[in-house]
Amino acid sequence: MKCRLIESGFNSCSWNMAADESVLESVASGSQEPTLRLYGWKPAAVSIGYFQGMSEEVDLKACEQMNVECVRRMTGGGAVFHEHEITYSIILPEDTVPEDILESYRKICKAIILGLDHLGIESEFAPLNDIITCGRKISGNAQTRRMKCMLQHGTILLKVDVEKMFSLLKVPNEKIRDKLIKNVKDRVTSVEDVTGKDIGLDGAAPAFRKGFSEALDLELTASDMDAGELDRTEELIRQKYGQESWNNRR
Amino acid sequence: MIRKCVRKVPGGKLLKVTVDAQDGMIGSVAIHGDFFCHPEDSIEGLERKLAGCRSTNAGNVISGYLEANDVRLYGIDAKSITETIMEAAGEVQADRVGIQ
Repeated sequence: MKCRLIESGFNSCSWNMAADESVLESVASGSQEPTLRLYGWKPAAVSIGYFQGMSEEVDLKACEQMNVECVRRMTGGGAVFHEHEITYSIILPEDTVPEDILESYRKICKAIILGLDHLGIESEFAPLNDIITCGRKISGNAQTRRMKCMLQHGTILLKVDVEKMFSLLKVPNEKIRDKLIKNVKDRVTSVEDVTGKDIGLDGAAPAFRKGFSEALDLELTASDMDAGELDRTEELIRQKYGQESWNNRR
Repeated sequence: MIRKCVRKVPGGKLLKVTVDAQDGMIGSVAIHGDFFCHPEDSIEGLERKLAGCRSTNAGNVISGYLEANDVRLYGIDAKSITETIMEAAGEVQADRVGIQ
């Protein structure tokens, strides 16, 4: 399948989420072919799932103090701290992926597994939406289906600072914060933890380009978002991802 | 009275339900969590559908809505939503499942 490859570099959380939706719209309309986008987050950010409450999940004061931005995703799932990672979004016609949601996660996550393999990391799919290595989570993923397309986006942790993450997220009981931190440290890992290498976004991208190409039989062509997609991205920031009415919706 | 109930669905995701109920009638419901639902906006539709229902009828309303709208849930299900709403509405004294 022919697929556009866009490497957007580092952008803000509202730009990243708006760009995902903008590209989804253009693929759905037929004005662009299926698209794989690889990107990073700057400044660091917290994204919450569609069904979460921002003030319930995120310490907004701590985020402001640490210059960490916040955004609600269009996809479900949990709160994610984005700093040292490679994020992907893949947008495909819905009829090219399994109708069963679990099986579609399994298929798309195969691309991540192959990408990690190219980095020398053995991993496996942990339903519904995680990828683990040696029993620890290294990637989380989330999917939506709309306009006869499927968008799945996810992150692969390149480095992780669990204490920083917990300083930005609310915990149900402050008394168990230390226990939760230790628990998460035991259950989450990163490329640096496993390989000892700090590879960064540019270092990771080739492995995942290859992983997606192999897993989904994609013929990737490097490209950029077109002018219409970029304009729509800015519009979606103004109307949605940059607005409290969306981010604090629930 | 507004009550909140948090439940970790076994083998699934976290479900947080806030119910405003009086004398067995649901005024409003908010269903939050780190689960997945397709289509996503059907959760808001379900919340609107539950407003004004008797809490003892929540299970029927939930099942009916999910089926009628071809809603797919991952990490939670109709049963866990029903039980959590019933507990938040004070209809049952279920043990509160801690967060894992």
